[in-house]
Amino acid sequence: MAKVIPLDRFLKLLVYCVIAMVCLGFGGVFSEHVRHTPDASRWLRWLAVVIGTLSILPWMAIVVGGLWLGDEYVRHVALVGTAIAFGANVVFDMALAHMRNVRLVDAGAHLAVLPVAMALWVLGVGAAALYYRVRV
Amino acid sequence: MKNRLKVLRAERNWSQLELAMRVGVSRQAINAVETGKFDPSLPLALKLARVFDTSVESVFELEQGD
Repeated sequence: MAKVIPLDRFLKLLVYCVIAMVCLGFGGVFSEHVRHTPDASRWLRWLAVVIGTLSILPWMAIVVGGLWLGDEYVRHVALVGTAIAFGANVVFDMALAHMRNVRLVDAGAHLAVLPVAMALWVLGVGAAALYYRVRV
Repeated sequence: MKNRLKVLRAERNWSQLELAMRVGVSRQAINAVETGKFDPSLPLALKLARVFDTSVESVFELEQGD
């Protein structure tokens, strides 16, 4: 498997990424719009929940597609990295909750779930890749 | 688990990349298997044995404690 990817495949991936980004953005914008609409009906609010939740699916499809194209070693590293990221996410959430409890941060303080989860996943996979690279 | 991938490759003058292309995985995967950092699946082990025209047992060997 070569390290470079053909231009047409790269362009296709770029288009998918743009579509995924637009979907994600639309989900957030729609949800914010409904949030600032005091007379929004129950159905509209549920629609915002559904659209906002499903808007992450294109990104997930890209990640899953990428893993599908990889070989068993890539999938193994990704799996270990995902486990590391899950553990890190739990620790991070607990730390933030305790920081709120002891009033180190504001009680209403919350971080955007998605960017934190994405960053932790990237870090987790990076840590797994590094582990398999330096492991003796 | 020990393996003789490096020796078998050297006998045929194949690079890791060439072997990787023959069995349809990445060079990184071959490197990880060869250095003992990653144990291949049974299908990959069988493919590796096939490209070297030998048996799995002559490519891979269990170590004491495995």
